[in-house]
Amino acid sequence: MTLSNVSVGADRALTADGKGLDMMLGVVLPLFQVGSAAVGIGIAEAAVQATIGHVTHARFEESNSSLADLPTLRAQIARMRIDTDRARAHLGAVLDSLESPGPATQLMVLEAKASGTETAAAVTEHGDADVRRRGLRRGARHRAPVPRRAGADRDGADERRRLRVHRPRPVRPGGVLMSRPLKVGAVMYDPKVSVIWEIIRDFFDAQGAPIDVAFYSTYEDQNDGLLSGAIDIAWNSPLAWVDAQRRSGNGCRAIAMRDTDRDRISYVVARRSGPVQTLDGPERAARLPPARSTRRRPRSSRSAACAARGSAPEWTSRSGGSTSSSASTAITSAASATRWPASTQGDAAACAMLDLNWEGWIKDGTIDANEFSIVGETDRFDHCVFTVRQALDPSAEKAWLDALFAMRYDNPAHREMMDLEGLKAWLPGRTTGFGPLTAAVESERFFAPASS
Amino acid sequence: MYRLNDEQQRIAATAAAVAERELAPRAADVDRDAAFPRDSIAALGASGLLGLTVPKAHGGLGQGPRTAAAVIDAVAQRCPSTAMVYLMHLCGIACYAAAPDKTAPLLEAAAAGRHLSTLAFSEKGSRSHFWAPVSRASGSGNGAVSISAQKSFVTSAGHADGYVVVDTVGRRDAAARELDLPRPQRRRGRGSVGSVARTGSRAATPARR
Repeated sequence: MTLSNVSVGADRALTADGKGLDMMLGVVLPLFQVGSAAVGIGIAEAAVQATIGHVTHARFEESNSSLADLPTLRAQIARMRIDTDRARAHLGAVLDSLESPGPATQLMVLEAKASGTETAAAVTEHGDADVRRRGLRRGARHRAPVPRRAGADRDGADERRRLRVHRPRPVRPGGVLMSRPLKVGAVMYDPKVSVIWEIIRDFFDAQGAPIDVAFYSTYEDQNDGLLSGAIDIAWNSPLAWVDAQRRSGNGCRAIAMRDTDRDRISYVVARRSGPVQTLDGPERAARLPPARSTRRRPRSSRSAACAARGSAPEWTSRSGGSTSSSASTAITSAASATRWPASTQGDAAACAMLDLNWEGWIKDGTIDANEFSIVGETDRFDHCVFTVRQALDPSAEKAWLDALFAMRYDNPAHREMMDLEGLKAWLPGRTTGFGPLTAAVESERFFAPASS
Repeated sequence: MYRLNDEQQRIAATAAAVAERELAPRAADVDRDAAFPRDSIAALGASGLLGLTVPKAHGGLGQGPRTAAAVIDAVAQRCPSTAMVYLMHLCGIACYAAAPDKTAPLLEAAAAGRHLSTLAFSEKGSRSHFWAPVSRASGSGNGAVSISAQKSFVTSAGHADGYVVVDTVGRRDAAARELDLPRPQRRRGRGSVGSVARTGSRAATPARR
């Protein structure tokens, strides 16, 4: 607001000259603080009421249960209620203090606005994150949280509350099933997995092939979900693919994969001056392949984490089981650049890593090629695959794959998502790259015998 | 939790009823369009609530911060934008009430629902230190002054009937004055701050310029 030479008569002066500050601090400040707190509390109260109203009335078609039946949501609403009541009680105490001023009055008045507005932010954030953003907003996406399987070290309502995303089936007004979104499982090894999959889910929505996403703590749990039909598609690591095949009697198919997941190699890297010069015995010279030039960047930690889960048996495929046990116990694996220094400073004699990591870390200086060299490598293998049960509905699968393959790196709108997921193109799935791993798993008796 | 007496409870109940009936149905549109909630403020005025803190001697309800908190809470539950506009009005009224000999007509107009007040404290140069204005008022005799200032974060800018401004006179001493500015024809520019959008009070987001 601009005032330009606004003439104001003496009759409009509310204070004597020099007394404006007194009015600001003595008259305005207490009321502004108290009133701002009240605005925040009112907003929080509205969020509590709207949330209660919604979870009480919205019902799942399938089970005829209401959202209020979910203990996680009830716990969340309790938290919103307590936060709101606490701020309102604080404001009541501020008002008492204003009416009977004491040494604490000034501080309490100053606290009031922070208390009320922070409460509004926190309570609406809870409602937003746990109810509205999960799609419970009336008239918007109909997605409902379901309790997630508790992970071993992340049990408890709080942790579960953060992790599940599930959307009930869209139904026609008459209640007739219109189309059932395919349910895709992913392992949440890092909170950002949920961010990536939120983006991917929005992409599938935009493609007209909506999906549900279910997050799991472990690949074992995810395969439970795949084989029981709880999910339709599992974003599986190599070991998880082998395990799914093992448990289903080869009843699964690999339908899609990243370009960057084909023909990978795991290296064992050791200090040139260190004790490990070769993994093939002292009589054979260490292989020292030159670092190949590549335009690929270091893998995202997502795929790196997959590598960590898959690298041990992959490596044994190269060693053919003849590696001495003393050597294998000294090998660590570096799935991320932050773990590399630990790998080199501890007493590990060598470190296993994916070829793309080696190349990326040589390029960015994380690894000094004058100090370290590759002392062994696996055969080429393939990495993560989207895994489905043999009997997945072909038309649903085709619609899903059509949408997936419509994701193009040359489309700027898709690029962020593909960079996050670490690929340039989605390719059809293939299983030819899992031979060495399958053999190694068998020879190492890596998995316990199938229970069935 | 506000521990209101009977009279205060009646006022708060009236405010809740008016807000439920007149404000809530408009709140979503007001927020979506970031439109100044003129009709909602008029509804508060019609029920005497613009005079909530105006002394009874000037036709108001003569209430203090306790009732104000309860009423603002009730209003904010139905329309946060209106609640912020209303809060800044009450702040302006508090300044008037501190100088009743000069502002009696304004207090009476507010009690009758015909005057919306606000504060214009912050300035571009003072940033959030609203208590330290940088603008100067130049004296023109008889205590009258001429003010030039860039006021920021003015809730209800362009819609209020009275603005309480602070400026400096002579050295760095602040003085507060009431301004009766003509309502500009055009809408004010509006800033949009992340968290504000979520809380449904976009329409009260003050003009930045």
